[in-house]
Amino acid sequence: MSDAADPPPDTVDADAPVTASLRLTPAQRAELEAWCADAYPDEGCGLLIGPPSAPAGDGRLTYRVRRVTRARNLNVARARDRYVLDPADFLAADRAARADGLDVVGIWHTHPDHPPRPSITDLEAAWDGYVYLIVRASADAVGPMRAWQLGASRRFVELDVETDAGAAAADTRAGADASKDDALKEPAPHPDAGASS
Amino acid sequence: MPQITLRIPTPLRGFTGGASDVAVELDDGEATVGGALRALGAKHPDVTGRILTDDGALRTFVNVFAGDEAVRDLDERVADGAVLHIIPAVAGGTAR
Repeated sequence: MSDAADPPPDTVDADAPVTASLRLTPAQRAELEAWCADAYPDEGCGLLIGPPSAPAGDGRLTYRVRRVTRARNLNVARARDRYVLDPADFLAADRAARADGLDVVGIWHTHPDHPPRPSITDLEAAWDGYVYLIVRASADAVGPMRAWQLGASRRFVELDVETDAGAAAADTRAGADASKDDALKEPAPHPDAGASS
Repeated sequence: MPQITLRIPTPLRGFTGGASDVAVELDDGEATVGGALRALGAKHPDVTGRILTDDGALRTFVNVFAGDEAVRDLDERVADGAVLHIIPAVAGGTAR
């Protein structure tokens, strides 16, 4: 192996403006990060389930994830640097999504010890319309994660990844709303908490 | 005439007028997985090339499930009321 290999062709259209975002809840993000750590040093993968998305008035598209699923990586021989998502897991997730009026809106996978930037392999296998969330995983950390989607140029365009505190469950709300400094303090009491009957 | 429902994945709905399900009716002699895919193509011509090769075989990056069974043999028979689920092959990785 050589570090002096030719640089890979650019898989990303860096000039394209960011016009879409992927929104995860803190709980989804935590679940996903745990799966990424568990899969390491192999590549992990799974699906992002959500409602069909339509652009807002400003033309911006937001993918609000309702749940994340984990799938098996069938590429056992090269699991360290490739993944093939088990189509049977896709089928099960798609059936469950349809039953709830939802869709498969994207795919997540890890890049063990590599940046979360799409490879040529990712580009060659990419489908129009899906969001591809790529998460860096290493022996002692998970992240960062970045999201991508095929653009008109047949290269990837980046999406913003947002953590949606507003949609989080009540038990994660205090932590999600807190800044790093505030996280050290006691959560503020709920406005109704002190009311007596 | 057997009626078959095809479940269309998100990336192919641009070729089916946005439909997530497409129902097709088949002659008894065409009541196969391949027959259903060809009937889908007759309704929505642009989807054919995404699913079938020029020779009429299933493309390698597309999976079709009849129930829980993955189908590669397009001559496999389908019964009235069957649901065929088209699943995109999802792959990639760090390499290259």
